[in-house]
Amino acid sequence: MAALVAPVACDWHRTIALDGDALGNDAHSNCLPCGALRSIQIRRAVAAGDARKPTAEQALALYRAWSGWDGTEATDIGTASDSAAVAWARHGVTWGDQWDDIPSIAALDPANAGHVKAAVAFLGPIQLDLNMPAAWQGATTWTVISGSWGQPGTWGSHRVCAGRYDQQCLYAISWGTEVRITWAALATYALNAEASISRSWLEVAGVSPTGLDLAALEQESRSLAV
Amino acid sequence: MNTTRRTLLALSVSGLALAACAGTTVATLASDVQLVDSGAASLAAAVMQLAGVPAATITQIQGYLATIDTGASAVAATETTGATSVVQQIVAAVQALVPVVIPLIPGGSALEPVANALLSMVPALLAYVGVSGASAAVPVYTPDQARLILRAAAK
Repeated sequence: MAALVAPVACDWHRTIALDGDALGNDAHSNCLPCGALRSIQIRRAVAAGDARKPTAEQALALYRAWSGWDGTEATDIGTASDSAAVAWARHGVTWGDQWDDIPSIAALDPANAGHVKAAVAFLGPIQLDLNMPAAWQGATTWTVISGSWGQPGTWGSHRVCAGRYDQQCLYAISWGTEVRITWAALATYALNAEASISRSWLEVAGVSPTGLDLAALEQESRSLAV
Repeated sequence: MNTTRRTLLALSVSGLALAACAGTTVATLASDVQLVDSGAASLAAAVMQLAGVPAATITQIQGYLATIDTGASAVAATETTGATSVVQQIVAAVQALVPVVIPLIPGGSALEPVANALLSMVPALLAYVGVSGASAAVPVYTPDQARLILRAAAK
């Protein structure tokens, strides 16, 4: 990845129409499946011209499978990002009748803007876990905030999908809408980031990142224990 | 954080660094879990002393407390932050306990902030163990405010 030079701006979000559909995340803590489904939606739109949209039913079914949510409020507590990544890489996510999305997952440093840009530009939308400050509620641009309500985690940990950036910001999809995250805010509040690497994406995008041993990555991802 | 997975995946792509949850320590997690344990115990003890609480409800509350207490002991004994399932069990018990006790608390009671403080600690506990799922609503208290309330409640 270090050998790749990312363009100054990239926008994969343009390939889908965001309609404000939170996919159930406005009532449940299923942000992680929502992020995965939005990523798949974008990747399939780019790679295959697929216009299908994820649904709340899909997001909640995936939430049950990945988190153990049993439909009750007590177990509606979110999803462990590590185990979800393993489940996604091993078992995939069904997308329509004829496609299972089974990417390889690679961790990247969210504080390294160069790596984040390269990942988005060459591998497609990434997954981010943000230790959200309460001050971000209702804001459409997420910046570094001072004071007690700007402290990381005062809102909680939240997963978003991010497939667009420019010189000022990374753009993420959260609760069905696009939000801007300044690069400084990303470095301050991001807990971790993951690139989901799809062979079909690389073939369509025509990229072969230096240092990426896709065959080894796929083998390792499939062999991980749940 | 599953070190094995992170290590494997980080090794797979040269130049991609291992991400880490900055500031997270086992001691902080154990301390916060202990606060939740003691705060829940204090809240439940006060509620169970209120007149008219059905015996079945008391049994239910005691069950949640036992789950929280057992989980807190497990977290205190663990040497890594890999206590994801235990913390999830504690959080599930807290989220089950609070809706049971809230209707029993008289309006304006000092117990209400304790209940809200318990719920306000949930995002912090889950973030420690890599669980993402912030609800659309912001917690009533910041983690620091919630800690103060729970410390006071445990005295």
